[in-house]
Amino acid sequence: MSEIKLYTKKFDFYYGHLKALTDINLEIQKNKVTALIGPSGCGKSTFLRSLNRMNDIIPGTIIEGTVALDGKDIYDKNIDVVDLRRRVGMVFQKSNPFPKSIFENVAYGLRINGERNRGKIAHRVEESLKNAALWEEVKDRLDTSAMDLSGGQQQRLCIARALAVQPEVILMDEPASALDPIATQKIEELIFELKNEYTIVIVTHNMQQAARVSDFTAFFYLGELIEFDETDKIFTNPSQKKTEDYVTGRFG
Amino acid sequence: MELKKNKLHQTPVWWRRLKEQVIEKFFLVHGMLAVLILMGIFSLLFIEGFPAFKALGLKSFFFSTKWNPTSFVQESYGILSILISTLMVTFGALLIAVPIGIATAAYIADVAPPRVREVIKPVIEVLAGIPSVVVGFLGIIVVGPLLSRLFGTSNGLNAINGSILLAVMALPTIISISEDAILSIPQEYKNASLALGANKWQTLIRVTIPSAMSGIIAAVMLGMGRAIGETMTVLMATGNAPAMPHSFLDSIRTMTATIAIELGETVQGGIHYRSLFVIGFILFLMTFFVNLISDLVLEKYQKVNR
Repeated sequence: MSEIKLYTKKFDFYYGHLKALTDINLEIQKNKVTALIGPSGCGKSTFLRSLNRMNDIIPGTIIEGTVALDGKDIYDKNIDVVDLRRRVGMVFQKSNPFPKSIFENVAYGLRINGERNRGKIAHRVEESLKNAALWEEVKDRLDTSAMDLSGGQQQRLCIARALAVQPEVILMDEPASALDPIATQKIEELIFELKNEYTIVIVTHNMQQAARVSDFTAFFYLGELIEFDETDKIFTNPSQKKTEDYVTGRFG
Repeated sequence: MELKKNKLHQTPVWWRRLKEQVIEKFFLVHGMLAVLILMGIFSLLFIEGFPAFKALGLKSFFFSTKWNPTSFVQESYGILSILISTLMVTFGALLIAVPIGIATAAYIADVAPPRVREVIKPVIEVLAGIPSVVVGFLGIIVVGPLLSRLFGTSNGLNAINGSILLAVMALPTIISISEDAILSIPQEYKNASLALGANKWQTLIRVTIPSAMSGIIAAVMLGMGRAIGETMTVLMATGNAPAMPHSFLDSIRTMTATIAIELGETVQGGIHYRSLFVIGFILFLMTFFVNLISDLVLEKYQKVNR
């Protein structure tokens, strides 16, 4: 039944001499939400950014082992990073819309990929904003600056922007950590909707959030993957003592 | 009783209010100082120049191309040719300096490895410190002969020479201010662009530079101000001919150069003397409008791209 979208095998990651991840073996299933949890500095964000090679822009990073998308190693020499990032989209912790209009923000990914047909772009922008549950709020002011939106709206705009290029996987790095409870709830509902079409990997500090939105949960600690299982199991009956201590709030 | 516990509240209220007001006025005066100086310059130029305006009329200034205030036969005060000459070298300089300046700034801020940046930055700062007379030398000795050989003209002291030199002088301003603007663009914008599958070049052209546009426009305007106001370099390198230019290969004389050359040799208070103040006044208006227009452009731009 289940299909593996992304997997890592014996994956190590270094920032220069500093080893940030050790021997990560993880399988991420298609059309599921996988949550990465763990205390600050445990390597979960580093791991997330390895999945679309955003770490490449940090000088001095070294990787060992395999990260594969649909069975193909994404660190292979023949892989085009630009193409990879189009297939594996990303939403950041701090909402970061461009200082452009709402419309241009969503259209950006299409334009850089060479789309020139105005009708097509307009159609895709509308569709993406609808999928990100933002359309109703902004449809009358697409030409105004994206910076005038509220924090929660900006984050949904960033999701719409990521959706517009029709990725297969969406990586989310603590997408709701800077938002109020209502905006957070909207994002979580959105994640629930999106998994029908996309594979989602989400880093979160909020354990209730992981429990609410994810199907699978991976617990990272000090650069190692301690436990990976179905979310229900991780939160009710973890097999590792460390995991239990963390999810019950005894440390972290 | 409650208040007495807190020592801060023991100073009388009237004293605190007075202090507050004195401090406020102190800063107000300093804020007004720049405005006062500006108005002072404006009125000086106007008062000194107005009699010439009154005696000669608008027409003889603006609708004549002949500037010959020392003629024995018929003095003429047409500033059209020197006005156009000024505009020509200024825009010529911008045409050269703006693309090079923005490209250099983008390279230093966004592309260059740290070691290259550490070499280029101080070099540009040194370039900014070269006196304009020295740049003028360069125009006469290097650029002039080069141009005359290139275009087959008898000498190379012409508008294009002035444009090149002014571009060199405006470049450090344009580069360093644009660079600051580009550097101030948060990494988050670039990450967002890269994560959408943009390459470095697309990110620079479509996100980083547009986001920094307000700073870049300010940089260009400052560079333009530098170019319009520059005197010594253009005086030395443009051939000093107060005639109507027909192309960039003609010798010209700018408004600033005209004032610098002639003011010392006129009768103080005479028509010639006052007409030079008229030129200064017009120069002042030009820079004023350059700044005004750039402010308007910026404001309009920022409304959408904020």
